[in-house]
Amino acid sequence: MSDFYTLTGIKKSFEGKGELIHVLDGIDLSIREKEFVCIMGNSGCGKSTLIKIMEGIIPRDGGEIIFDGISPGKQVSKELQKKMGIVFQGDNLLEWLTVYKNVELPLKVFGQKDKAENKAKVMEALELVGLQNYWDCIPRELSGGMRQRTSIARALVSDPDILMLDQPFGALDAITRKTLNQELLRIWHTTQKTCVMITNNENEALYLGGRVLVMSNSPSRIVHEIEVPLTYEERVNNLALNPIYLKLRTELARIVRSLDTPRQN
Amino acid sequence: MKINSKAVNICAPIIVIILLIILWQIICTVTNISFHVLPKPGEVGTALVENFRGTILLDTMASVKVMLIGYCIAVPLGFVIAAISSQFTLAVRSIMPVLIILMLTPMATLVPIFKLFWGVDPTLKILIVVLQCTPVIAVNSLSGFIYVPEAKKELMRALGCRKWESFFRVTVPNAMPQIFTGLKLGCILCTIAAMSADISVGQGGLGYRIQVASSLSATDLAYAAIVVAAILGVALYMIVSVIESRIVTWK
Repeated sequence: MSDFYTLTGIKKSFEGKGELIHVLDGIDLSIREKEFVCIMGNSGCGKSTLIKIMEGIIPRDGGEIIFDGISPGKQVSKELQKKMGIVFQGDNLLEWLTVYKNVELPLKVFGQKDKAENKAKVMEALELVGLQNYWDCIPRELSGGMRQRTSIARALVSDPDILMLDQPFGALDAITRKTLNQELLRIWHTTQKTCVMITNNENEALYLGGRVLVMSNSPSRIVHEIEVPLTYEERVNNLALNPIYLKLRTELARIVRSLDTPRQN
Repeated sequence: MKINSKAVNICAPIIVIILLIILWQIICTVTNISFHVLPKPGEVGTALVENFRGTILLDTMASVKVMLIGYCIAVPLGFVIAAISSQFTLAVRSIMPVLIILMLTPMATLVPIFKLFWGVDPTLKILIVVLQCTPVIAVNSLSGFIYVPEAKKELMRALGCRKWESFFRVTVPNAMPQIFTGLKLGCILCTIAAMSADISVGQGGLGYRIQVASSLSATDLAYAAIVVAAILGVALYMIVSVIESRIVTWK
């Protein structure tokens, strides 16, 4: 269990209305291999900004990232991007491509041209999310939940070392959200991928996360860390009655409430 | 029959056209209007059939040639102008207004000036069509290229795509609906430009035939040529629409 993704002192500010708005004020966090980390915080605290920096989508102003022993510069290389599987806030599928082609996209971009091999990988990823029979559909023909499953398959297809999810189920209804959380936990359990997920839902965070980190309001730091000592079996069987879970939920709810309401500009 | 079935979509406009032709016939008969001002639909039809082999077929071929060559040059030209300028913010700001001005300028008005330089050259007509169609294709493609949702840009960045790779993987397909709007407007302007080029340059073509026929008071022949010109425009538009429905299947 080595630290294989480390952030130290990550800072980020944006220009807005003539003044600099400090969003991230020195984020330190380290992720161990194969663990599931959930990051929570009030809306506007910079959760999405943080994960976008981790994903290599936006550059950081200061601080150090070490991923798999490498420190990525301003522009993250394709080689390093390949090691990250990214699930976006919306499904973010390309609506002109079929489910199959959407999932195949990372393989193509990463220059893997062997058709038979790609097909095997795409079908394996689709099977993992239960969409093997829908490979020929276009996104418009699918429900919101199925589209988000497709985007999880797209993130997994290149066999990344770490899966990063930015509030992946925020736009879905409660029942679909619950189902997809179960699926995600199963996928994490079977693939043994390291996962980082941004969420604003306490139950989701405790259900999935081995650790839950809580961010303060912006300019934000990580202010709380909760270990969730529950096994996979405990998580899937009657979690709602588990005393450890109930105790942690009360604690997490108290922490989240104790954060000030975000500044209104 | 359902109101939005395919049969209704095809039949309804045809019925309207037939009704308009009947109305035209009735107006001619009732008002007893002169043949030289407005010939009856039947007479136009007869003129079309009688003159088809002699003049109209040749004029149609000449116009089709000008339209197709002009259009086929304008499409890639407009696309390339849009693609290159979309990559530079300054270029978008500076070229877009110029393209809009060019799009709105009736290019046939340039013919007398061009004649001063080159005399009457048949390629002048193709030049007019190209000048008229390129800006509208470029403007619409460009407005498609510069609007890419932030999330899609993030996806490309997350995959480590460089500028041109994300242009062809995301920007172009994302802009397809706008590109086709430009291509269809291009069809309309192409027909108009070809006809006005015929009129101002001369040397054959349907526009030229319309002008000659009306100056000789052969109004029926003029109308026959107009009908063929309209059919050409519609045909070009339909071809592009069919291609669009094959390509833009996700809207």
